[in-house]
Amino acid sequence: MQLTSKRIEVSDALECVEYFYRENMTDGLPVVPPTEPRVQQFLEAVALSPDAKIAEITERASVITAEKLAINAVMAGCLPEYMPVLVAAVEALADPLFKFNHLASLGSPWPMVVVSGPIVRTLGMNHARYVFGSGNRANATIGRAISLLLWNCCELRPDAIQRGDLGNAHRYSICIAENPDTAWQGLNEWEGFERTTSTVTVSSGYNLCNARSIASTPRAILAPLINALIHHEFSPGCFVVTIPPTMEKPLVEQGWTKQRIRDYIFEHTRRSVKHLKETARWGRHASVLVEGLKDLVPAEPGDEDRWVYLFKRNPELDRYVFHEGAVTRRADILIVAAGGDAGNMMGFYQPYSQSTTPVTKAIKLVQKR
Amino acid sequence: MMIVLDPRLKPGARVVTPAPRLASLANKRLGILWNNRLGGDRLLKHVGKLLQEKYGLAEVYFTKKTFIGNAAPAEIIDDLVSRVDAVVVGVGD
Repeated sequence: MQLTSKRIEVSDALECVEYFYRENMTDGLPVVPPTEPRVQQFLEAVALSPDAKIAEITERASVITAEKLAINAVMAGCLPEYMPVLVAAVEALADPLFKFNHLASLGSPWPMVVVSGPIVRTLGMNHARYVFGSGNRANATIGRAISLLLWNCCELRPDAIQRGDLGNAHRYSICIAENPDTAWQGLNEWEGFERTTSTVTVSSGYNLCNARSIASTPRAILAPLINALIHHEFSPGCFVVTIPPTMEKPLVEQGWTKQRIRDYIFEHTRRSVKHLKETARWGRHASVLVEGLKDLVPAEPGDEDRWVYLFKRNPELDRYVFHEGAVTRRADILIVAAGGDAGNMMGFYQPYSQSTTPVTKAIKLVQKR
Repeated sequence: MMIVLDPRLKPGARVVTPAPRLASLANKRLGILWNNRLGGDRLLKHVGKLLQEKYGLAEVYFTKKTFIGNAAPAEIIDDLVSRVDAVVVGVGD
């Protein structure tokens, strides 16, 4: 079937790059020229016709076709075999649970892509040292393709609906992979799929945070992570947490599954009302008016023994701290076995504070004849 | 010479068809759909009051979405369609 996108005539690849800058069709980095033969290769990789509807993003009244996805994937520097991952990622972004329009927030959230399952090995994705980049083509360009697609087809640009105060360094690209040989259940299994089914999870957040530990016992390994989790934005939701093989090994040897780690984190992530008041996290907008100025809410006797949990609900206290959208969404710890084999560094992607839930979709592979 | 493809959605590819516009708000029933964003209820109620004073509305009907980031569900849209002639919506803090 014929491609229907507008044809643009340029003198050469460099002129193409400049043209795309002039027409605001790139996120700020140069692009690979999306020629028709190259785009056709990408469509063949998923056996889709150009007008095949990948997803409809209702909130933007945008229908993403295979052709537009392929063009943006070529521009990002992808290889054709990355297309099944991108198709699943776009399906996830369009899921109502993702609540697409939150990406316009002044908090500058951006979706991280997490790939789990055997396709990680097939595509040579990085799940080890420097997992968050840069350097691996699949990781880098899959994330970039999402950046360009949303820029060009969903108005996610600063001159359109993206209204973040700070922007987001991950806006150009953020895609990680999970070690397919993890001793734990994979993220794909955690999300309800078979271990042999590769999946894409999109999870919207602000930034990558790290937590370092050189301990050996589970509680000591997890203590810095818990400390980091409660001292960032302290808002309930789904946290993607990466745990490297150097920590996975002692945890597994001591009988700690992903479920047990999650339950432990749920039990220990809490802050006292006193601390919340002292750090401007108590009350909607965390303040009282004092002589016309917003000030901290004063602590009262006993506040040091009243606890607000990040993952355990107590409506009486929660309503002073959390947004309604945050306490009603899914709360979970999505552990991804990933990271360097020499270090002691866990990571987590701080989730967007008020809404959105990670969405996981299966990657559909085309059988080669 | 090189031919490349436009990565953007085609103009007109979006699936929105705006509702017909009213000639006047006089004696019309006005709906206000708050997106549940902090402070927006106060702002929108004030907008309703100003429009009431300026145009002599028959009624102001206030309702809300559960969350800003999703399109309003069908039941809210259907409720508004059955009750009012025009709706004020907006996004912002």
